[in-house]
Amino acid sequence: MAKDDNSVRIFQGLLVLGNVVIGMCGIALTAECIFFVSDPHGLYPLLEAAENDDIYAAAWIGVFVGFALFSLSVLGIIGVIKSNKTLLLVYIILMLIIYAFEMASCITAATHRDFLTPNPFLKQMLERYQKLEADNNNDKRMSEEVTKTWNNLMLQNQCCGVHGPSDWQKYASAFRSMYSDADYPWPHQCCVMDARGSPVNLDGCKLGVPGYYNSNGCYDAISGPMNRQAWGVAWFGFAILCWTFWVLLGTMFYWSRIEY
Amino acid sequence: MLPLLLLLVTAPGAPGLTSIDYVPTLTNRTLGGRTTASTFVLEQPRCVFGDAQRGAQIWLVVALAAAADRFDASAAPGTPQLAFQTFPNNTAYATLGTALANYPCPPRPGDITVLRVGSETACRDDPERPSCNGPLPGPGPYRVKFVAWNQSGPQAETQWSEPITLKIGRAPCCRRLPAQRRDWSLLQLWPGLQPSPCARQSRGTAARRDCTHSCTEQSHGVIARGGCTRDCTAGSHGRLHVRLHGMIARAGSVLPGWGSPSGPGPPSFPPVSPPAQQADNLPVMAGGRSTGMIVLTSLLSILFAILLACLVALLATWSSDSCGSGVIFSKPDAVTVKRYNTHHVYDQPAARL
Repeated sequence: MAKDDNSVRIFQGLLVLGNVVIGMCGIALTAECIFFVSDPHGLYPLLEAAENDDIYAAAWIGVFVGFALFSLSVLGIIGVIKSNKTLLLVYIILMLIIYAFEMASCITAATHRDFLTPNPFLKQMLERYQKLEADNNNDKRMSEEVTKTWNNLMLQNQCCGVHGPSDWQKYASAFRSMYSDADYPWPHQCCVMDARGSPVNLDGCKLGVPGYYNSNGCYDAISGPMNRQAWGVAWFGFAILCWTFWVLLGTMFYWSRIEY
Repeated sequence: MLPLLLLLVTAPGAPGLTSIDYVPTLTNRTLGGRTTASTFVLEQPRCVFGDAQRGAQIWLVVALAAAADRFDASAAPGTPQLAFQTFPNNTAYATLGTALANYPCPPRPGDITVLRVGSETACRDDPERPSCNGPLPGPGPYRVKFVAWNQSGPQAETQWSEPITLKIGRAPCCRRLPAQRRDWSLLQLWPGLQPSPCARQSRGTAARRDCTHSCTEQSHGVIARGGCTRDCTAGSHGRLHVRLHGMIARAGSVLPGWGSPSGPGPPSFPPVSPPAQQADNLPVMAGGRSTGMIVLTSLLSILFAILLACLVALLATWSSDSCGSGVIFSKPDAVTVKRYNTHHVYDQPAARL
């Protein structure tokens, strides 16, 4: 009957459209997650040293899930057009597996976003920045990475410490045990630098004269990119999954109505 | 000279020593390093000493607040009694000696009139430099005064300042640390050196983000992935302790003299700020779960559950293999049925297939 024929075609068209959107979103998810994994802001060592780098694990999962979504959407389109029960069953089952992975990625990213408060970073900075002695090679490497990351952070963002230079005064730290307070009330990376990378006025910096040292904290420079990453992975993944939910339901319905 | 000195020794506050009604203060300027753990910044004594002291040298005398009363101005600066290196075993030390001409009155506009006390680290252990402006050995409290000396002895002195207490760095990790003044002879504190005032923390769920209990002596890395346990184990206690003392000694002699020369160069800081020795420490546990995370998790779980249920239902009906139920979606080729209209049914509505 023409009416059924039309409705069949419309339904197929909808499913194909749904799968096309899933495919494109999968590519976008892969691209977004590759961007995050490449760590453009150089903040990964901080999370790695805190052993809390699950945001990056979520992004890695996102890379593969995105690609799998693209592949499966192609499979789905073929299955819907051919109305092949086997293909569609494979499609449904694989999609559910990918769905579960993407769910894990989203929840991980959202959960570990809650870790991003100033105190863990402050504690890590105080314990590892410029720490020379180490228990083992791994510890040494992490301390070096943290030191390098903080130096870059403070120089590039013109900031100092997590809350400000007072962090180095208020708390005992590895830095304080290495460098005397009189010469280094805070690291020299907190000083305003000239074009050649040396402090404009070292005495002014040590005294804390406004204009010769950076009195703002680096926490915004850390939490901004990390928040964007966590929320980007979590909510974009969530949106894809919502859409995929409907496409899968439709596909299951379609599958149940196919006659061999 | 000798009778004069004897006179001064036997009669403190003798007529030869003018008392100036000026109280030295920390600088009024907002400076990040107004007080640190071993330095502080004073306001320069501009327009304090008069012409009577024109030929004299103005020195800064620093003493522990408790010992300030025992200070005797008859001892000349540059002698072992007022040497920095033996402070605080001797009552006070004198430093930053300079001519009155270096404190012009009124101050030139744009001048930063401060004195940084504690800026020279190179001469800290050098007995040849008794007037070293070395870093203060502890949080204090200290009192300071300016004294004008010339060849015949002390000419004038200001009042003692208010007590100046320096900052103390506290360990970042222990929670609910009771307020406790540490031994200030160990200038640099390191979390591993923390004496056991850190209360034993409950392990709780041992979330790896929870570093609060990692710095007690008792915690030895039971936490699966606690990144901060390693630094605070009791095993490293003694080792760090010894190394730290060595480092302090080394730092004093090796570090180049960053500080400005003793003179009215760097700005001075205003009076003491309270020491940072509150009990509160950094709570590192993550706060409560955010709303967004809860919403996301619950919605995704519901959706996934629905999908799984549908799949199970689908497979169940498939295995029961019912055929002919419902409309059949077949291949796009529509099945056409031909109806044969006889001439009897012209006025019937057109057949809809």
